[in-house]
Amino acid sequence: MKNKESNFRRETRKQARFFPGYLLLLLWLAFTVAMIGWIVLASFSTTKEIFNNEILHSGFHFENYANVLSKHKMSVYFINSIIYSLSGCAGIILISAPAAYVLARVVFKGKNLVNNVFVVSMSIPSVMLILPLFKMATSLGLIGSRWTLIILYICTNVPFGVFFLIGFFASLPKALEEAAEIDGCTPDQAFWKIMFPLAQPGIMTLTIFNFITIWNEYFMALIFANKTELRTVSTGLQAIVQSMKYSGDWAGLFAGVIIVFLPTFLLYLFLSKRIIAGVTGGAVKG
Amino acid sequence: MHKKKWFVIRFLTPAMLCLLVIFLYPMVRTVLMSFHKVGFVTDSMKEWKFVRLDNYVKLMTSPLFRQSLVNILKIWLIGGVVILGLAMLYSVIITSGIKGKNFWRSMLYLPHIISSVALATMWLQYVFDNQYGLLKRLFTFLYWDAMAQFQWTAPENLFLSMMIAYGYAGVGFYMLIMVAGIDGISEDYYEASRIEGAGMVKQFFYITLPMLKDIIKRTIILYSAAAAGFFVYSTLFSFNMENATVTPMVYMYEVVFGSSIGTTAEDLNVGAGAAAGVLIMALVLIVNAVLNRLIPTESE
Repeated sequence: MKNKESNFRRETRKQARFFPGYLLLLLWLAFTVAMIGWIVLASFSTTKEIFNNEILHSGFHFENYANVLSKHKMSVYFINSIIYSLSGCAGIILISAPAAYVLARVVFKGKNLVNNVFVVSMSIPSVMLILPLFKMATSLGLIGSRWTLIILYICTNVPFGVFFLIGFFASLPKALEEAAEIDGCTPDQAFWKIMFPLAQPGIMTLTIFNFITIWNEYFMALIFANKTELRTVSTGLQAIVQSMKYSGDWAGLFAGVIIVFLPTFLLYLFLSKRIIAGVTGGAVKG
Repeated sequence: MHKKKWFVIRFLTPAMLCLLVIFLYPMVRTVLMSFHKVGFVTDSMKEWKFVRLDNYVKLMTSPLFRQSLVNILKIWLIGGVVILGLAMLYSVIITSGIKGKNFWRSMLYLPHIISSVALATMWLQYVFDNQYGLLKRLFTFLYWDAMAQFQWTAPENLFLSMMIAYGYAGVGFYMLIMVAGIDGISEDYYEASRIEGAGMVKQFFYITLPMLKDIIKRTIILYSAAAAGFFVYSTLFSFNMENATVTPMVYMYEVVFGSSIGTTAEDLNVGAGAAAGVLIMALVLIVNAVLNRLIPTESE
């Protein structure tokens, strides 16, 4: 009993040493909670209450969400972003997984060169690409269609996908392919039926990552989705902010912010460990 | 053997096509474009007029572009020192043995996964608001009148406000990388130094910092690339092509796709936009080269 108490005391003393550290972390936490918490509450209040500092005075106003979804067209932007993100994620995996597999496990001439080209292209800033891409999209008559952004989101994220998945394919045991070959599998079958399913953890992490990236993307969406019907949540929200000067619907604006914020936040809430492992794995290894 | 070759080609081709069509070809074309006078983005190469370095000269004499270079330098240098410094501070705190390491780490990284537009809107429409804003209320509550009166969104303060918001979103990302680096340092070093009587500060300067050299270099490279592409916060924090927050990328966007620069009566063309892009890329490459010279990678 006594021993336990002294242990407890030692632990307390040890933790007390970290007091300045805890304080800095708590400050950050308090700010984050205050900011996001207030926005959530404000999104259920009326604009008048927001300005008079009496949030939620007249109870919950769910009509802010209805307003921003229909009147400010947030539902259109939301569906667009879902389409862009999901098809983007699927396309990235379909293109980068086979390439990563070949680069990780097959020996062939010029492999190093190919590998390096992928790594280098990851560091090309999008300013260097955007003008010719715009010209190409116009020549192909793709401006004004959802395909432009879908294709761009897939292609611009392929190099990172390849780079990320090489590590996962390289870590799988060599015996698997040999066994598959003995059983009469073609290399294609061996990949799709055995290796691809085995790389699921890496593919899942990459997909969550890509989903967040595409959901939050702003620059290309601004240039290639210039019509209301094509806008993403990011450029759509920006359009709502700009129209605030005329509509004055601040409660609706905050509801819009929450709608944009919620999907990636929920993903993060449930999968933060995986996402963090992905960031550190991708950035430290490379 | 022939079969294997065919297999490799089939599996690599889609990804290689992406590289060629979306990365390599556009990059070469942008570089070529920067030496030509181009009326519209959609003009074909035949309509380009070769003007040698004219676009670069024009850029360098344009006051707005020069302002954008000054801004990007400020963002890179001041923002970099503050953001990477804070990331370092927090990563040391998080790895120091405090309780709830995973929770704190996830909390600090949270802003990075939120859409920049949503986050910037939270800052501009709530935190910095001068009627019901968070900071206004906080400082009023503390009876700190000077701060309560501070106009965060006034043109002269926009740059500061923008950097605070940008820093809040960015610190967590670099912190994550540094935490992973510190976790990779063997506990034995700390154990030995503790026996020798070294405190936390000494441990930081004599163990953590030198062992983290590669990681620090990597975070600087990542930060430089991010700063070069500084765009979202700049457009969201400028209400009328504010000189204080314009960056080269915003300048390029406005020259090529925007409308507000046209009113400044500067005779600009799309080629100048391409030249701005090439300059941004050159800056990143120079920073990387200098860093590689200054901090040679040991592991390779």
